[in-house]
Amino acid sequence: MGVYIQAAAQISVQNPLCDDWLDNPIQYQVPYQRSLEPDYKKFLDPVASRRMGRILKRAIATSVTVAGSSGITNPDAIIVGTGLGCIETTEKFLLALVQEGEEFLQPTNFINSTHNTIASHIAVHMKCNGYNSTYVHLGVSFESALLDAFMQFQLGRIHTALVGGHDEMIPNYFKILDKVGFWEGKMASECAVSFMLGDTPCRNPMARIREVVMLHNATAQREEEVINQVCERMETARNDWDTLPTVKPVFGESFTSQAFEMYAAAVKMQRGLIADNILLTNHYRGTETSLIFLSKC
Amino acid sequence: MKVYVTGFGIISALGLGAGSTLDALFNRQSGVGPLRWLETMHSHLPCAEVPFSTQELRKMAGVAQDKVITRTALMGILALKEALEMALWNEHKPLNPVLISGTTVGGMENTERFFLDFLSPDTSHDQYILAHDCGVCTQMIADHFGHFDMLSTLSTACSSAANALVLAADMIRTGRTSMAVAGGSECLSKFHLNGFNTLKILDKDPCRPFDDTRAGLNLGEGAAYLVLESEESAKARGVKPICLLSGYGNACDAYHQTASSPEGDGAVLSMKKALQEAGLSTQQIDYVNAHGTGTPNNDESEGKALMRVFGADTVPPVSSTKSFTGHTTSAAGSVESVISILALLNNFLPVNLNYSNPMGMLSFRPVTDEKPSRPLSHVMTNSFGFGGNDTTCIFSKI
Repeated sequence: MGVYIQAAAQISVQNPLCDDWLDNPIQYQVPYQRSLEPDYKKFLDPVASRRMGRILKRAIATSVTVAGSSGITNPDAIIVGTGLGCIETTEKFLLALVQEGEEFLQPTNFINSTHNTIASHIAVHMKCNGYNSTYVHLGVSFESALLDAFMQFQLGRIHTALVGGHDEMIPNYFKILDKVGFWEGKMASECAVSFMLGDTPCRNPMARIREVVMLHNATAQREEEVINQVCERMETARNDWDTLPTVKPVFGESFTSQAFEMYAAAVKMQRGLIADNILLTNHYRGTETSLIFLSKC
Repeated sequence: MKVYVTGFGIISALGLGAGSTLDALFNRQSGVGPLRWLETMHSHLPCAEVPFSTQELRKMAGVAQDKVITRTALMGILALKEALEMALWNEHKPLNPVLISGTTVGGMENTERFFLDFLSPDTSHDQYILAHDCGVCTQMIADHFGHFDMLSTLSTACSSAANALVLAADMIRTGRTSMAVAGGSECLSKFHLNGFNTLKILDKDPCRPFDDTRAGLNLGEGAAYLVLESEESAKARGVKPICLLSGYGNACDAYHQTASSPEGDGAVLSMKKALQEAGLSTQQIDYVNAHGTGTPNNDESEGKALMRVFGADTVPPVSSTKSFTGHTTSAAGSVESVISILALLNNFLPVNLNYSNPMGMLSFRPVTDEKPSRPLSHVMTNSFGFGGNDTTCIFSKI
């Protein structure tokens, strides 16, 4: 069984829905930067667009883009990872609640506050009745979604999957997290990356996902043990696997940053700019670890 | 590969533990009543609160006074403790177990109290800032016990816990672990009580699922976890399996963010997938624990879906136990899985309380008599979430 990245698309602090960042990254010297928005007219009618928060619009735009470029318009599964979900809408409801009390609250802001709003909006937009799930596990939310998709392929239940990492960052939440030293000097940003995965490689797949592993409170020794086990299973040597410098200086920091790391690695792999086997590791605040094994197709 | 249940634990408005839950179900004692703990202007709305204050839960769980923790995590710890004890966790530690938990509200109970402080220079409640995240809730529960090798957190609204079971079972089936503990936990918060209230789907009276006069749901709170294990692991640890998680299905209604499609398309798909996965025919299902929220929309849509899947004249005994536990939202999938397992093990049908008027468009009536016409071998439970996240699980006797 193979799991192939057939297409990927991003909306971020870099130019949206393209690879301009690779040769001409926009440089920022700010603690917090929101995403550069594409023209949503191509993806949504103005009425629908007005009703949606930015995180939903980005999710739809990146999803529709990868559906178009891969030709897979009705994926068997839609799985999203998001650290904070629709935090902008959540905040609207929360602020109204704590400032104005319980009398005059708006249902729309509650309806769009749940984390699974993103995956379900994509499903409604693309008319997909298949497997649908949402992961909200801190800095490894995206990897949780990817692991689920990978297992659905392994179990032969699906042939295609749309997997996304989506997070938005609002000024108040940036401030609150800054107050407890969360950002550690990195630029806070937002994330919208969608991947179309398939078990049969298309004409020009970007990369092949070989394995996805998550660990909790893992020691360096436990992590190495798991990496060696995976290598053994894949019949590759441990030193066949290279690492890459992080792309956080380009895309910033968010709960789903690892989606950018996988996206950037896939773009570079497709162009032959990096080694054929890449291990992407993520250590979130010393408690959650993820490992993504990517190979050239 | 077969996935066995080797332990389960529950806390809800019916009390702590499988014993209290079973007693309440047998004695037809609902946990729905006036609010005791949650401070809200909507105190006229009946809810199903866990009958312990957060302080009492902290003591029961043995969590130190100065430790930052949430009510959701405390309920999770208590449910998990029962499940792990049943599965002989301490006697025979499993190899690299995982914990998958479902929640939506996360640490909102504190965020809604301290949000303005968070935004001000006041730092006295800043310890709750990071505790807002759903994933932190899972960490708090896992780290109370230690030894968990991987964690993840599901959030598909009211089907979160059911989807946690799905992921956990798949982790066993793909050989990633030999034991996966899964379920969900959710406490009541002003945030979601008000949220549901703005949708005008909360009944001012005790809910009446599948009744023609039904007028909405009652919110509840609780937690439940199941220990799922491979046959090999259960054998090696000397644990007697309780039952099988024989099948499950996840589908998306893809219709509307809060409403179900009129004919229950997503529900039909999730039930069919679960039956197929379990290799069972519709005639083999002895009981269905419905999602049955008591809202006009859900019960009509789910009822029609049940008729489509099972045939209008051959729908098995169906009940919604939300008339006992309230709608425990993200925990509902595992709370109702435990209730379904209790029904399976004790050969009884949990009744659908507060039912008296048949719904015209449905061919079946919900269960009002505990006595089944045949011993139970396979039971099904439905969990549907906002956004059309529909999931069905089937448990079978061994």
